[in-house]
Amino acid sequence: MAVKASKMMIKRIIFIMLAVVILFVSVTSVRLVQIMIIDGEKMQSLASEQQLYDTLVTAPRGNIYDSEMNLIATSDTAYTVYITPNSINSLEEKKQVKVREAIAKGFSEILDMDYETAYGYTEKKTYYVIVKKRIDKPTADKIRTYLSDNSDLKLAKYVGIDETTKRYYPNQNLASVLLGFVGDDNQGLSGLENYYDRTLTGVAGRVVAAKNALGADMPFSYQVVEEAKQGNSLVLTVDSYIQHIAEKYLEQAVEANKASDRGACIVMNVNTGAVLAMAVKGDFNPNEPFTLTEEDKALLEAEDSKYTVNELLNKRWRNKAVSDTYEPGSVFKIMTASMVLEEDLTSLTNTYNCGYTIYVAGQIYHCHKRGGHGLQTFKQAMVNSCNPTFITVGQLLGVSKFSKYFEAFGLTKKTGIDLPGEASPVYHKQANMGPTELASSSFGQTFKVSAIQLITAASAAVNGGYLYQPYVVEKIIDSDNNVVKSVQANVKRQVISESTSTKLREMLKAVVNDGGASNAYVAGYGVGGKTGTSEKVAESQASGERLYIASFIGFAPIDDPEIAVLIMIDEPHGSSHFGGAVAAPVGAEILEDVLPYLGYEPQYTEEELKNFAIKVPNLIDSSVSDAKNEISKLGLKLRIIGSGDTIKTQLPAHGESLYKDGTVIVYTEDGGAGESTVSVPNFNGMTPAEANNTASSNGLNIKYSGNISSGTRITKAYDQDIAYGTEVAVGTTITVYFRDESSTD
Amino acid sequence: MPAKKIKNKTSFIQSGKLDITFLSLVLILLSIGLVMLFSASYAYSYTYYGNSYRFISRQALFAIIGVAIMLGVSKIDYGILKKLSWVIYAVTIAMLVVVLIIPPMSAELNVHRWLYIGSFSFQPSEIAKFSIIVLFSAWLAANSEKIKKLRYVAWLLLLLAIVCVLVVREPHLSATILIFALGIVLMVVGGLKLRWILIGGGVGIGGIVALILTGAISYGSDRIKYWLDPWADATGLGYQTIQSLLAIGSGGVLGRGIGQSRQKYLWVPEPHNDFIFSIVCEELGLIGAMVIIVLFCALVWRGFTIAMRSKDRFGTLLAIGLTFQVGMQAILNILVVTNTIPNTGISLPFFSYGGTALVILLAEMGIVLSVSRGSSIEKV
Repeated sequence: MAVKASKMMIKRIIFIMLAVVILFVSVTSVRLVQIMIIDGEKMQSLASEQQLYDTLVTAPRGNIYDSEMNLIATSDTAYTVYITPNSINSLEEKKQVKVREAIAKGFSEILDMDYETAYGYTEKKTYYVIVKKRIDKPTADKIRTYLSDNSDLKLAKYVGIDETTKRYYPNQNLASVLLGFVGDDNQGLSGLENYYDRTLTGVAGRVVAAKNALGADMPFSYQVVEEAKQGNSLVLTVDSYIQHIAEKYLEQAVEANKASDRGACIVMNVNTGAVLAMAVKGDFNPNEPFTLTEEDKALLEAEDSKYTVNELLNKRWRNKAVSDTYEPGSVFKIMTASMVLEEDLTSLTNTYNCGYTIYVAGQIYHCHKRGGHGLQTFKQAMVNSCNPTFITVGQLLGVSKFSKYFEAFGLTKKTGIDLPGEASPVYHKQANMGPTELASSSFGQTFKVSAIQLITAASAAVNGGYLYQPYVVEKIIDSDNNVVKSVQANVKRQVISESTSTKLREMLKAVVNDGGASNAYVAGYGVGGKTGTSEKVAESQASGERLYIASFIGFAPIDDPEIAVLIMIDEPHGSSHFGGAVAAPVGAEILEDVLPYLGYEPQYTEEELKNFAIKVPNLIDSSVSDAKNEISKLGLKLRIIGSGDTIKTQLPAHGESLYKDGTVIVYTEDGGAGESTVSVPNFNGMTPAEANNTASSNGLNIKYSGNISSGTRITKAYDQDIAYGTEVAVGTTITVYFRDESSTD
Repeated sequence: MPAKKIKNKTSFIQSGKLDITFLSLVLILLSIGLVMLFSASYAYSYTYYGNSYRFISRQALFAIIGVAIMLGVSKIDYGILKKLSWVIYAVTIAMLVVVLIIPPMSAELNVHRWLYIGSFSFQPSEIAKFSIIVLFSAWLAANSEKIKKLRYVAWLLLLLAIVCVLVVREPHLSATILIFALGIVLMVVGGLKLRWILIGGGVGIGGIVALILTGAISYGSDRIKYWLDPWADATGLGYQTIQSLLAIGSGGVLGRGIGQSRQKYLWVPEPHNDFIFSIVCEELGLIGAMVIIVLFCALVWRGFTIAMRSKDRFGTLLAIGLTFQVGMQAILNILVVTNTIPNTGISLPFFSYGGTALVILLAEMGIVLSVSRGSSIEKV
């Protein structure tokens, strides 16, 4: 029979049971309470630290549109490549090496980095390393293909690609100085991108997600997502076409006149203060703002180079039209005339005698014309840009009134345009202004203002006296194109009366028609304006070379102005350094293209019509004899190529304008056009009549641009739209630009 | 050991009522264990096998088989083990030798713990625990007088030592400790003189201290270093411990909720194995953890109660040994997971992943139930 447990056994069993249970419950509960309650918070935060990660979701940056809603700055998708080294470190050693080698090989082939650097990334003791930012889609696709090609190593577990955005400017250099550019993290660094950075940036979102030990995301339930809010977009007052025109002619002028310190141009609506174009040359490509141009590279590599990379880049980024000040010179006579006419201290017909020199408080001033202008009306004095006359009227005005108007024209303060880095003017405060300071100020010397200040003030002189707040952004819209903010034209004050303004327009029209700004003449349109040439005194002294700024401000149509254009060419080194010869033609070129674009029909004077603009009829399908009759009736010449009876093609086309004695070329056989070519002659230095003869003898047609009739003065061709030596079809129209090279101010 | 089977002449079938309380406790622990295994293995399984159910489906299958075996074993008269005790011991020794000889299959070099038969694998050390329980229970039940003599005590210690030396050579320190403790506990219950218990206790403690101080077990002493300061090598040897502590600490009073552990996302290495209790703590909190501890204590209490009620001493000792084994293993596991003692590599019964180990465990629980059936007949 079985023996049951003895009492001693039972006692020992109970003892052991109690020991086990008590040990179990007491020790474990003490430990668990210690870890879970006492150290709980610490453990939890340490756990969160390793489990949670915070990813910023950058909001798509707002776009920038021009006034016609053309996209001029936008964001493209870019990609960031990263790896998770910890997930490699946790592999078996043999596999680790294979994976590292494969990754390094792929990166070195695709990402333009060396093998060792790439290998180094895979060995980092961290879970996340960014390998390369802002790569484009084809490169990202190459990486993806590489990863899937190596699926046996599961490379996709260790290498990832995140989508980000990259700023993109489709028009390259167009308006670059105005737009500015962004940095690596899409932060606006200059221009509008900088000024409106907060508007454009939007609100970045966050994803707080939990990750596992390999760096991969845990299931969705752990994610906290704060949606990113897309940045708002800017709609500019700037019109891409006008901007393009301004940049094109400014760039030509900067190059042709060998300007060593760039040039600036502003086109503004005089009745609103809206900037239609703001151009600076040399500029940069905002898609690659940190890339030196070949030109700058040469400067940098020159043996005794006094430049640094940063200086060269900064110079190109700088908005010369807003951030630089200069002495306006004779352009300022617009303001001086406004002041004295408004104060009724003179009239357009008051006469002044210019005897070459004038003394003010013992200081002698000379007129730019040797021997003086003699007796002239105030209006003629403006046309002649006569300094002694303006000194005289300035003295009549006196310091306090001059200062009052100077301030009223907004020349003592920044304009407050919505662009970064606007320069403050430098001028004589009323208290420090004596008769000599007043004298030099009267013709625009010894004080400095910015181009934007000057065009704003001059616009007030011709628009009826209203000083507007200049602005660049017309509207701010959200991502659904709802208008968030709309900017209205803002009049700061009326500086002069309507009637004074009318007088100013009359004077400035005369300056273009008969005076120093004759090179700003645009056939068919009334243009008024004033040129200026100022010496950069300090720079001249420093360099031992006489350095100038040639400038021009023009208005059109001058009888009821809408457009103001300011051209400023800094340190020209060409055949002339005068505003009349260097800057005024640029104004004409721009206005000639911009006015028709804005819907202004040319209205030619009798005189203009005389040597101008015969409309070419449609000759296609008509017989050769009919065409001959029709053409000769119009005062044109006909040149027939081919032996057919009917005309197949013609040059110029129906509706284009030709000058008297212009040639229409017709082809009587199919495909004739373009077969017969001619080399474009060099028109440089020719008078309009000479140019016309040369053109027609070559079977080419000519279109005059600029100053072709300057009274008794002789104007000469200085540029042509198709370069000398280019082979073109017979009958092609060449635009030739004329100016009066002797023009001063 | 003369045959004493008189009641069941040719059959070994037990027909008494089994202990419902003990069975219930086993099934409750098993159910909780399966749920927690599913949760703990979910992310690991998905990451490495592309399927979240790999671990739970296998474990559940083994659990069903194991429960069937448990119920089957409970119907068999445990007395049969008495006759097989020496055979079991001999087979165990053979397996422990073989496992040291054959090259290990796992990546861990120089760890000889597993034997593979076809697609099944098991640890001979698991068998060794059972073997010592059966052998010592059988011998002590039959020789309650001899145990009072020193030479027989020495004989038993020798049998125990052979197993312990073989297991510690694997190396498998926790199993060694457990086997040694099982042998000692059975000897104590079996009638070892109190004097020798005290002397033995003193010598044992002294020996352990000596081993630690001399650094005789290098594999152990390294563990001790990172036990005392796991942060000294937070990404290396201390990593598992730290991740376990972070999981436990994240649980708080109420836990994150079932399925909500974050540490199981590969932070705790192999969260379904030895460190499953850390995930249990993170998801169920202090309260849940204490409930499970209390359930284990209840299992110990009920197993010991069955032991005390057994119709014979063999049943008593068998139930003590088997129950003690489960309780002790749970204690050691939780102490390791909470970094209260150095990491020795010990699984949590009913919870940790391992099909054959679970089947063996449930079969052992079946033997305890068999003991309970025997005593119920006696009472009727």
